[in-house]
Amino acid sequence: MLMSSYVAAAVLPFMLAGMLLVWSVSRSMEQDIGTRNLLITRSLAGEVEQFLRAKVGILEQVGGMLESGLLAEPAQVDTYLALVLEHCRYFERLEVMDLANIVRHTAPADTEMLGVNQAGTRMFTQARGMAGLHWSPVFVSAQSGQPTLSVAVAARSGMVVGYLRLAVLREMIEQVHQAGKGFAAILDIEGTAIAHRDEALVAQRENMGNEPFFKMVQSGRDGSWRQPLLGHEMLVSATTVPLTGWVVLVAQTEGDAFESVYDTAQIIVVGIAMAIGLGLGAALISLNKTLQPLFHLAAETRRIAGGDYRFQPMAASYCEVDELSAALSRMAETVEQRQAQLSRSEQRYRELFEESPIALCEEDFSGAKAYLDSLGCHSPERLREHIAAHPDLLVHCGRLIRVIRVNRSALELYEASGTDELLGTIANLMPEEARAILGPEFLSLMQRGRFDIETHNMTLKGRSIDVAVRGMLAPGHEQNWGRVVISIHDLTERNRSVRQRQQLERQLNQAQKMESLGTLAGGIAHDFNNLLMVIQGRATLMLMDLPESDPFCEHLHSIEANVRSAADLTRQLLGFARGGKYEVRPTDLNRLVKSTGTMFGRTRKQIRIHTVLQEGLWSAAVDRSQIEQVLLNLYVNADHAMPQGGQLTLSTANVSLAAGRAQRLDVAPGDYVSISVADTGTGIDDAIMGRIFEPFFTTKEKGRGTGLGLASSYGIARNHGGAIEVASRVGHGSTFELLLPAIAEVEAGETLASGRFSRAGRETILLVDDEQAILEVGRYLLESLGYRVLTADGGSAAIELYRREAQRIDLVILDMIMPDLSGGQVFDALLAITPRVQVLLSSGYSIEGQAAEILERGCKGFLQKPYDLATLSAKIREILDARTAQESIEVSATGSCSNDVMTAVGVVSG
Amino acid sequence: MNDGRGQPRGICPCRWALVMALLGVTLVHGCRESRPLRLGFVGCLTGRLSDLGLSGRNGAMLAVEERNASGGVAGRPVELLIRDDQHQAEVALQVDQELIDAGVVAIIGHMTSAMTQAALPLVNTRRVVLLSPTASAAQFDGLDDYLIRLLEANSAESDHLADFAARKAGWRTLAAIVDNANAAYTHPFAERFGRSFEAAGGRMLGEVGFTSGAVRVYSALAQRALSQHPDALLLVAAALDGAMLCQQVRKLHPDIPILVAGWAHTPEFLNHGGGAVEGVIFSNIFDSASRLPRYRRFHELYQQRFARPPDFAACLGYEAAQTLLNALQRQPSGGEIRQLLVDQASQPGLQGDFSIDRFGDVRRQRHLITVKAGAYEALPPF
Repeated sequence: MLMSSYVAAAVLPFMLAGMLLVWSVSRSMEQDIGTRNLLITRSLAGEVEQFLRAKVGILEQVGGMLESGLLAEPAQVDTYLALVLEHCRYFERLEVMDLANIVRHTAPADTEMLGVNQAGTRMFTQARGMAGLHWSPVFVSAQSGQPTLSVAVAARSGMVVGYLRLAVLREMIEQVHQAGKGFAAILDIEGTAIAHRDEALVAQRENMGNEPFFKMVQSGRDGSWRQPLLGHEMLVSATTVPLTGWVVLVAQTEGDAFESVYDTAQIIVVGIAMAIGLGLGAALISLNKTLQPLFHLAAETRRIAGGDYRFQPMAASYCEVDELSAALSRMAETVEQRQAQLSRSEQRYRELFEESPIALCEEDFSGAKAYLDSLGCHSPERLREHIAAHPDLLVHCGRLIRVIRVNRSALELYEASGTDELLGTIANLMPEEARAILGPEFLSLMQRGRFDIETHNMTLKGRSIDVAVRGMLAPGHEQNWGRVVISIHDLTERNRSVRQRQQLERQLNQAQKMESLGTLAGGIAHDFNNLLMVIQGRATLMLMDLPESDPFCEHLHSIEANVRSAADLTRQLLGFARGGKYEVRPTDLNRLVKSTGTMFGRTRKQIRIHTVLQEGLWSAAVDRSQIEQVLLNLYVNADHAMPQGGQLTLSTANVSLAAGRAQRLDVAPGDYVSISVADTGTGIDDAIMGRIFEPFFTTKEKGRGTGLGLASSYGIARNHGGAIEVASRVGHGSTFELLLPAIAEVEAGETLASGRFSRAGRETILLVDDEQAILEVGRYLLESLGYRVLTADGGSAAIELYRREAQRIDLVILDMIMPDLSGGQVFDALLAITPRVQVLLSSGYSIEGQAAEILERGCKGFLQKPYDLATLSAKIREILDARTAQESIEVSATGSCSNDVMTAVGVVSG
Repeated sequence: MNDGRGQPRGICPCRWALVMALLGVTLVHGCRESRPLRLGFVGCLTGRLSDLGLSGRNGAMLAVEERNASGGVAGRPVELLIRDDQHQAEVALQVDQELIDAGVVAIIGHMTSAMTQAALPLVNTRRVVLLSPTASAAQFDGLDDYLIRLLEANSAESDHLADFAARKAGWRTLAAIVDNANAAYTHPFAERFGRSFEAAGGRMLGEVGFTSGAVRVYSALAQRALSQHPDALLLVAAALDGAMLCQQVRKLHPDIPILVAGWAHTPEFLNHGGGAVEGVIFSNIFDSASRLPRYRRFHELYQQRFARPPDFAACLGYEAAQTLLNALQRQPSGGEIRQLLVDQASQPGLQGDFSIDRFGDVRRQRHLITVKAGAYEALPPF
């Protein structure tokens, strides 16, 4: 290729210049030759003209002689004509005609012709009309039978006609033939040959009237032309003979005419060829000297490309080639080093690949890429459109992806026993329904050359695993996606933990929300209970002073009834709020379930109640009324979920909560008593499920629910250290499971309350409360029961007063919450003054929390506000009577009676 | 140094072979398309009897030039090879052989019956069509051979002239001067004329024979014929001889009617006959004054090409060439040329269509022609 280019570059300019030179010289020479040829032709035509004029002159001279009268006798005329003919051998014959065109004299003498009538013969008729001179076309002589032509000169008394020997004309053109190459010819006015080198053409009257040169000359232009003539390509020069209108032509074959041109061109061409040859020779020698080292370097380059880096140095050549050789040698060394590095890198990569704790594989996406390309998916937009229009596309693409390499971790991840199980198709690992993930993979590969997605795969044992898959196009495979390196991270455990943590967070949030609501509800209930306490007390006091017949008694009873209803409401609130648990006793929950179920069943005939109670059910420490309330709430909800009736299944069971479930329910692991309330109702959908324990949330129509039922049930369960768990399916029903901590202690027998009012007393009671209205109402109530009453409107005042009057104070009713000192602090202070102080704690809050702690430190009882007169009387008597009994036992035991004043303290909560 | 992976340094041999094969096919194809179709023409082109040959040659040349100008025959140019038989039998055979060897598809010629008769065995042997424009000897009639003629047998001409002489002109006796150089034509012509004339009530007085080119004293011939005192003379000779005979006859008997065989019906007859040929009678198939468009067009072309008017031989030479070219155009692949020509329903002629029968003979309408004021002129039918 280089050699041909080199040769072309060297030769082409010479060739072009040579061709231009040859063309230019040839053209110029040809024009010169044509001009010279034409000059010869004109010269010949001039000779012919001159010759013919001379012959015409002779005929005119003959005519003149005849007209002169010098030849009086016919014989003299014949003699004269014979004499003229003898001297003018170019005439074949001479005739003299009279005015009627009758032949009168001939030379040579011919009696046959004498008297011949030529009247009407066109050529003679024309001669008379054409200034007395006419040249005939060529015709066959009657005498000789050969072509001839005549020239007629008219005179006054007749006409002199000469019949020309065409051979004379031939002699004239022969000189041209002898002078050089080519030939000359003369044509008459019809184009018929009258003189030609080839006599046959004249004899056969060859007509050349159709030849281009003849037409050009006839049109008035003489010149030289190149044209075919008589079967050869010729240079023809032609011109006219003015006297006769004949055409004289000189023709040469082009080979003859332009021989000198061809010789010159040949010399030029040979010269150029020699110059080119010499130049080429020199160039090829130089080129060979240049190319040989290059060929050597090319061979070396191929050897290096083939992996043999031992560069063979070459002999010194041109400095540029030497420089190239040195550079190639350095390149070979560099390539060898890089190849070694590359091999080590490859080896390292293989080791890392095989030993990586991360599952790795290499996959061939080229089939899928080619398929996408065939669909015209060359851009992400087109790919998206295709995937949207043809979802099955990805399934097919999945069949075209090949796994070509996997490492050990990948075998473990996919539970494969050998590499062969994973190589090949990805069908075993990625089910067809999971191949939608290929869409984002392809898009990401197309846009960024990598992808990072989470999906799930199947192990070879059919186990579904969550995986994070990261893929990246291997270098060199960006166009065809022939190798994609993929890492797979097992996210199954992480996702499971995340899900658990999310569930716990939701439960914690729920619990915190419920606790906040409980606190709020407790505060409201506390204040409300104080108010109810005042109302209740005032109404009781008024009723005590009015006869039953008094019209106001009815109003006061109504006030008491509404206070109780209000107290029920606060009771519900307190049930939800922490600290709402009042009286906790070991309870047989089978009995509780049986009794509440029976009671509920009497009011709901359309519901079938099925009870499944476990024998040997553990006891639980509960406030029975609250648990009853919880159960009834659950029954009512079940009833509302089965408007057309259904089955209500009540069951109990002993359960032991493991750590997992206990953590999920936010309770301590251990033994629990389970009470399940299952209905066959409408079920609860997921949207509602998360809110069913919120206070005042209800799905029931106005008037059928307060939204406090499940909220208070939840609070009660939580207050008892238990929980409520719900399972539901829309359309199939719901199951509420109440879990309460089991205790070893069994239920004691029920003690019945004694009478409406306990007996009155005469002891001294210190009533402590920061609410003045409470103090006032409490004083009246206690005094109405016969007690002496001291009051203190705060903790400090109470302690001060008790310090002074401890000897006479039998009982302290102590409010638990007060601005200056809390009930607990006051109790501790009182206990410090008199260790056996009798204190009855009273509060609008529930017993849980602070109250319980105070009770554990020695407080004798708890009185929930609002309380009626009977409850107050009963609680006071319970404590004071117990103190009295204790003192009796101690006296009898010691035989002596201590002087220590036994003081009962009732604590009234603020 | 090329290891097979780099650029090739030249065209590989198979590519050369392909290029050369394509070039060869192109050349062969081109050669086949441009190879000329060869026709032969043969007639007497020199000497005293050359007038028919030269005119026939010119007519045939004009037809070929016209055809080549319009694209040739099926794209092939036509080459007309012309030979001179010098009106000698041995020369005729020689040139016919040359033409056949040159590969002509057919030969147009000969122009006289004598030469046609000489050439007939050769063309029949070589199975080459000889299409004669002017040979009209009756002896060729009804032969299933390779001679095809465009001029009907001269028996029709003899009958036509005899009928005119006996019935129209009312001449009772005639003397004839007959050229023996073309005996194949002249003798049957004269015999047939005599039989017809005598059948019509006339009487042939005697026949004076001569051989063209061998005699130079036409006056003696005229004198011998006139010495029988005929009512009219019949000249069966070529144009030059006929004209010279007329000159001598008129010198002896300026008013005697003269009938001339169609052989002499050429411009040369007028050129040499001058005032002596005024009023002579011909029977010919061509009327040189015809106004038919096809003929007028041909007349104009011929005049432009050869600077002279066509005669009947030129017309028949043109028709012969055109008839042959039309047949070849219909079947360019060649085949049996004779079958393409004979037994055809109609062929276009310059002065009316004609048909060639299965023997290669033709029938045409005849006219009586006279010379008036130095020109030929048709006479009304009698």
